[in-house]
Amino acid sequence: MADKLIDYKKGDIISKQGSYELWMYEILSGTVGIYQNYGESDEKKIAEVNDNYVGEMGLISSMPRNATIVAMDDVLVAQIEEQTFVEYFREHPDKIYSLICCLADRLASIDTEVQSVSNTIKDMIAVEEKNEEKNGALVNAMKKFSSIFKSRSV
Amino acid sequence: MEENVKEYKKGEIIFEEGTQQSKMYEVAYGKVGIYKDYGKASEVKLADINKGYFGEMGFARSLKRNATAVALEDTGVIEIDEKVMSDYFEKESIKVDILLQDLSKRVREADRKYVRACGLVDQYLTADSKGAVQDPELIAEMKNFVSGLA
Repeated sequence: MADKLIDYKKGDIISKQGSYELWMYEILSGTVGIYQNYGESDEKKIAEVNDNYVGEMGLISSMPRNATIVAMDDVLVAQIEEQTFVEYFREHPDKIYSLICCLADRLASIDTEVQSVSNTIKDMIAVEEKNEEKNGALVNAMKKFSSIFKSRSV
Repeated sequence: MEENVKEYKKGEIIFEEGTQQSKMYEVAYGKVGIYKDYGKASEVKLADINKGYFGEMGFARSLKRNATAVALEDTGVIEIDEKVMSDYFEKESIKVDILLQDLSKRVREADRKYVRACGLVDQYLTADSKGAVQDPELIAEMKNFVSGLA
């Protein structure tokens, strides 16, 4: 079997932010929470996931994890490692499609975010050049992106 | 698996901007042009593809196609959708691996870009809150960022 099945109890840390794991997880049952700065005063929950894959970046890149994955209840995962990646998908070829969709969805959503911050920056430039007052909506957008930056700088 | 090669004559449209199909394509032979605003006065050609895959963002369920793909000459493409994906992976696992690497690289790059842009906003806001004049280098970086995307 190309996948390693692991059980976690509620509150267990499945994967730590900053670690260099070279595997990803398929969630077979239960729900996981994805957190920035877990356990610290500026802890932020980014998402809850109860199906498909998490941590796929670990398999596909050698960058450190940028978030902590925590079990929200009893969780069963399949840990899919680099050496067994191709083997795992040979055994479960139907899952390749969902991994591709997962990555494509992820890319689409980040591209949308990039467009959104770019629009805010355009507005900021315009306002700066005309030496105008910033309206409430622009100020809120700026605060939002600023706080995202703070939560993402480890 | 009989590779299902779909044939297009020169000028035929493979997929249209604004539509959504959960499939991607691999060029078997010929050449494909990727256009924004195809057929309009504002038409812009984005790329020529004569090998490899294209249209993989069709798998992003929230998105409509952001460009039109047109056969530039007699062209054959392999359509890869959910039904054939398993077979395709079995026959061509390296190609699928390349696709996965490519998508995840783009996710990482977009994420880096995103965090960098948020950083620019944060710098600007920090200066603003101190009542300071904005650093012209920051403004220049902001302009570069925006023009890099346009």
